[in-house]
Amino acid sequence: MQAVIQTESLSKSYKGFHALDKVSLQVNKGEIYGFIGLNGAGKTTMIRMLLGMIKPSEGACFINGKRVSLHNYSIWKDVGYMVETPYAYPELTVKENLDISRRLHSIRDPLVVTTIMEKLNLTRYADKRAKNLSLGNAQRLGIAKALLHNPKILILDEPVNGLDPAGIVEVRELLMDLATNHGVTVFISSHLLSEVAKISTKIGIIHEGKLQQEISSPELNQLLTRKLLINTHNQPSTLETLRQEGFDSNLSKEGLIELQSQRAIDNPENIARVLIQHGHSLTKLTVEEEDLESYFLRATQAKGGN
Amino acid sequence: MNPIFNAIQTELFKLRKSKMIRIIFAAFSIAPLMGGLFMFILKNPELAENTGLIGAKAQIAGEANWPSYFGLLAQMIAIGGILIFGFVTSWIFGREYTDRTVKDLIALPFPRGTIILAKFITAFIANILLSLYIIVLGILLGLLIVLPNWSVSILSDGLVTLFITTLLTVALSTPVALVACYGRGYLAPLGFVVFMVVFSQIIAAIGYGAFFPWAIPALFSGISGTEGLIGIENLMIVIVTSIIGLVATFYWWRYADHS
Repeated sequence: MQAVIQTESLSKSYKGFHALDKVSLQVNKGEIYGFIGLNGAGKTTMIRMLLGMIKPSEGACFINGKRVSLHNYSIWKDVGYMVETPYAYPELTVKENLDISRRLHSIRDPLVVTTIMEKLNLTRYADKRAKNLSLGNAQRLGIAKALLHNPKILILDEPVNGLDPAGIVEVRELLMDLATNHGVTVFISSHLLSEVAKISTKIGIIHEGKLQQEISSPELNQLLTRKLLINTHNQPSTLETLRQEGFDSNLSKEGLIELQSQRAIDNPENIARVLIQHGHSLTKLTVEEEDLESYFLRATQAKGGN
Repeated sequence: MNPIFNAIQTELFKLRKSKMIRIIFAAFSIAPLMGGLFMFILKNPELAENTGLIGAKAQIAGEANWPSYFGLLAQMIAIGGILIFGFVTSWIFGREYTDRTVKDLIALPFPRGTIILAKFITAFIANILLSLYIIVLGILLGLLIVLPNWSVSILSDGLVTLFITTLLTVALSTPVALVACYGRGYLAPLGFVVFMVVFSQIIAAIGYGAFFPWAIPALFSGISGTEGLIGIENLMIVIVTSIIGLVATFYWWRYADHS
C-alpha cells in the first residue's frame, strides 16, 4: 500500500538545536495517525515541514508519493490543514473568512461555505466577526477552513484545543467518519493523549525531536499495564493472606493493595473467593488499566512518569 | 477560476473591509484641503494678512494659479505618498504576520509567488486610487476657489507631473513590502517609511537628494524650485530600487521558513 503521508529521516536544526531528529513515518489511506508529544517535542515543526512551510535540514516529506517542495504545489489541492491556534481575519465575519478560503481553493460554488458552517455548527455565527468568536468557535472556524474543499488528507495540529466537551465529541466523530466512511487520511498532533487514543489507528510518540515509538491501537492496549486493586477493612492482614496464597502484592501510596501478576488480573474472582474464605471483608476489587498519559510519561521517561 | 484573479479578489476584499484604508483615505484628504486652503489665502491677500502663520506658510506655494497648485499637489503626493503608500503596503503585507494568518497562504494549490503578486497588484491599485482621489479632490477644490490660468495644456502638464510623481512614489513601496515580510508584521515597515522620509529630507538638504531614491519623487515634483535637477539616471535609481524590493520580496516569500 502506498503511503499517503511519508517522511524519510526528517530533521530540522536551529543553530545546533535539533527540533526534529531523523523522523521516518508513514500514514496509509484512511488511517488516523495520532502524533503525540509534550510541548516543544517537535510536533508543530513536523507539521510545518509536512506542509512545506519550513525546509528540512535533512530528509524529505512526501504527500501522495510526491515530494513536498515549492514546485509540487498541486499536492495541496488534496490537503486541508490547521497549524497551531487557528487565526482568522479579525475584522471579517465567519462567512467572509470561509469565503476567502473558498476563493483561494478556486471553488466556484458559494454553497460550500453554507454546508461547512452547518457541519461545524457555525451557521448562527455566520455574520459574527472572527475577533468576537470564543476560542472554541475560532477553533471550529479553523477546522471548517481545513475541511472546506473536501480534502483527502487532513493535517491538524491540536484540533480540539479550546473546544468544550460536546465540541470535542463532535470533532472526534467528524474525523472518524471522514476516515472510516470517506477514506480521508488524517494526521493529528496533540498533547491530549487520551483524546488521540480514542480516534487514532496508529500513534507516534515524539520526544525531544525523536520518534520514540510507533504503536497501532491494538498494540497500545497490550502495552498499557493493568493491575488489580483491593481494599479491605484490614489491609495488613489481607496482604499477609495474599502472600501465603502465592500472590505477590504491595500497598500503594493511596493505601490500596496492588497485584500485578497476570494470574490475578485475569481471574479477580479467584482472589475474591480466597479473601472471603479467610474472612476478609472486601470493599473494593477492581482491575485498573494504565491511562495513556501514564504510559506516555513512562515511555518518554519524563519527570513524573512511573 | 484563475488563482491570481482569485487571490487579487481576496486581497481587495480584505483591504476594502479594513478600517485602515478608510482612515488613510480620510487622512490623505487633508493634503488637497491644505493645498486648496493655501491657494484660497494667496488669492485673498487681505485674508492672508489676518491669518498670521497660515498666511506666512501659504507664501511658500507662490502664486495662486493652476500651475502652482498642481506643483503643490505633486509635492504633497511625493512626500505624503511615501508615508501613505508605505502604510497601505505595510498593512497589506504585514497584517498576515500580525494577525497570524500567513500560514493559511502558504500551502495552497498554486505557485507560492501568486499571493505576493496579488498583494503587489492590490497595493498598486489601492495606491493609484488614493492618488487619483487626491488629484480629483484637488482639482475640484481648485475649481471651487476659481484659480486663474486654467487651460488644457496646463491641466495636461499638471496631470503628467502628478502621474509620474505618483508612479515614482508608488514604486518605492516594494522595499516596504520586503521589510514587512522580513520583519513579520507591520510595525517594522511603518518605522522604515518614517525613517526614509526623515533621511530623504536630510539627504536632500545636504545636496545629494537626487541620488537617494526616497528624495527623488519630491525633487521631480519641483519642490523648492528643483525642476530640471532630476534626469533619467535619477529616475532609474527609483526603478532599480523598486525592482530590488520586488524581486527580494518574491525571493523571501518563496524561500524563507514560514514559522
